[in-house]
Amino acid sequence: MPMLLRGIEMLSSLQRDALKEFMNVSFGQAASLLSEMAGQKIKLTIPEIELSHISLLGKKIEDEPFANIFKGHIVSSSLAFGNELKGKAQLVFPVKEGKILVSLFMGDEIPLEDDGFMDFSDTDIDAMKEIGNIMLNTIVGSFANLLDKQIIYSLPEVEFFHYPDHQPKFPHETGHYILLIRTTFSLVKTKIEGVVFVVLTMDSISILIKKIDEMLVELYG
Amino acid sequence: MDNLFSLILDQLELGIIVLDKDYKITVWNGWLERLTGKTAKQVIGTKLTDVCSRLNSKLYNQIFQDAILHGKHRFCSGAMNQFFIRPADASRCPQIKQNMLVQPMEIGEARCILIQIFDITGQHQRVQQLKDLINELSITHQKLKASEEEIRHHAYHDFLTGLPNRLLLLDRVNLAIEHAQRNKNGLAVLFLDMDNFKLVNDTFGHAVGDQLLQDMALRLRNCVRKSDTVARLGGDEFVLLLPAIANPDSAAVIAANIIRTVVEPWVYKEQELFVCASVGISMFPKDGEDAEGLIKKADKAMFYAKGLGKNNYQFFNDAMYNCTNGGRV
Repeated sequence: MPMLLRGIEMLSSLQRDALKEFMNVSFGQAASLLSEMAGQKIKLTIPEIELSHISLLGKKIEDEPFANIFKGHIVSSSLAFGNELKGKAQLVFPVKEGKILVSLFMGDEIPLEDDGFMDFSDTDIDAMKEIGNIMLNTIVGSFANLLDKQIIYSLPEVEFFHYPDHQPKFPHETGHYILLIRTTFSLVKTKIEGVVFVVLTMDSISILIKKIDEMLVELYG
Repeated sequence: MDNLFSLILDQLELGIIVLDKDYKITVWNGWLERLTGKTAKQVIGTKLTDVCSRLNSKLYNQIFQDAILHGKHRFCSGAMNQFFIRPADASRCPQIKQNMLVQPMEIGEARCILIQIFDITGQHQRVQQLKDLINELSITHQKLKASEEEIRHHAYHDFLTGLPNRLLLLDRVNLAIEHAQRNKNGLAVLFLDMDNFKLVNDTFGHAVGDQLLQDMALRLRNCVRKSDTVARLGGDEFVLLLPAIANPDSAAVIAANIIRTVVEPWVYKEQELFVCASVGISMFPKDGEDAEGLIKKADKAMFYAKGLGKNNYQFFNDAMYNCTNGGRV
């Protein structure tokens, strides 16, 4: 098992691939639910996944490939969870991409940036809340299953912030780690880039890595 | 106390349903009674999916199952699901919008589900009205932009031929002069007047005259480079601006080509028609350093060419100033 230290690569490439594989299954379930909601085929892919100490989050989102998403106005849908597994999961989009996504889900025309339609109405916020709820419930649920932990879920909250003036809100306590998952929503008409953050405690991360190693042993012996 | 809670529950402006682990209704408040016309007495003990057929789908079954088995909370928006509880008056269905909140609840050892239904029809309609208003404003804005563009085009272009008019020509000549000064280059201005155009109008009518002017514009454009300007000043007068020409011989070649092109026959109503043109040429910087002056001198040279018997081109020279009757003096 690799050391859980700040500033160093926390996952080996094999562990990263196994985690990506596991997340792909979970994202696949979320995609199937979202497709049903949107009435069109939605594919969720995970081009990048990283595990990092929470204190490095600021640095991580300044660098590629996350820097493209953290530019200017951001919309996020977040969900806190507790009990045996404590943390927070957050789905983040640039406001423009988020607006396009909810418009596609609601069957509205895709807004153009210079149309001035980039503001979120109450209805758009509701739709974003539901999209976040479906995705984050599925992702957090799959972690709970993998780690065999009981979870108490909360209701999702939608927030807007301007990066870098306002940073995403996460518990910055020592011992918290964050999974950064860059995700692409492929819809019929367009592709939308977003990020999913999952903040977990050191205990949960240790169990997660142990589980990943078990998966690798099963796979490669 | 139970009566008090029941009274409060019935007064709420939202729908409250509580389901037991078998998805049977245990609470159905007054708001839902008013909406559906179904009383608590009628529905309590019945499966929710039997009372609300809309919730009898794989998607909602999964949501209720996730709440009971995994303690998952779920928000379902009216924006994506329209509504969840059908009103008694079915004609309201197309307008109605509801949000639904599904939350697991622990009562002692037993887990049950709390469902809250919020009517957001008014909020949705306001958003829709706002969207419609923005759409209308956007269409009006597009129309205004298009008509502004059209007005701007008309202000700088000749209505009949679509060529630049005097205003745009002056601007382009001035810009070309500035450019030539910076690059120590020259330019030529050709003033063209059709010979005997009045005769075409008188013989064939104004419709043919107008068609001839439009076709002349096309032939002239085909005689020059893309970067050159062909303008119509009015009547049968055209001016060509040829930037980046230092040698008068190059201007002479173009002028001769234009004259040859103009004398080619023009066919209207199966009749061949012949016209010719006189062309005057002024050169920058030799003949002047401003647009008005260069055009005026090219005009003077054109007038001189006409005096020499038409269908030819002449370069401006100062002697032409003393000449009041073209080349005949």
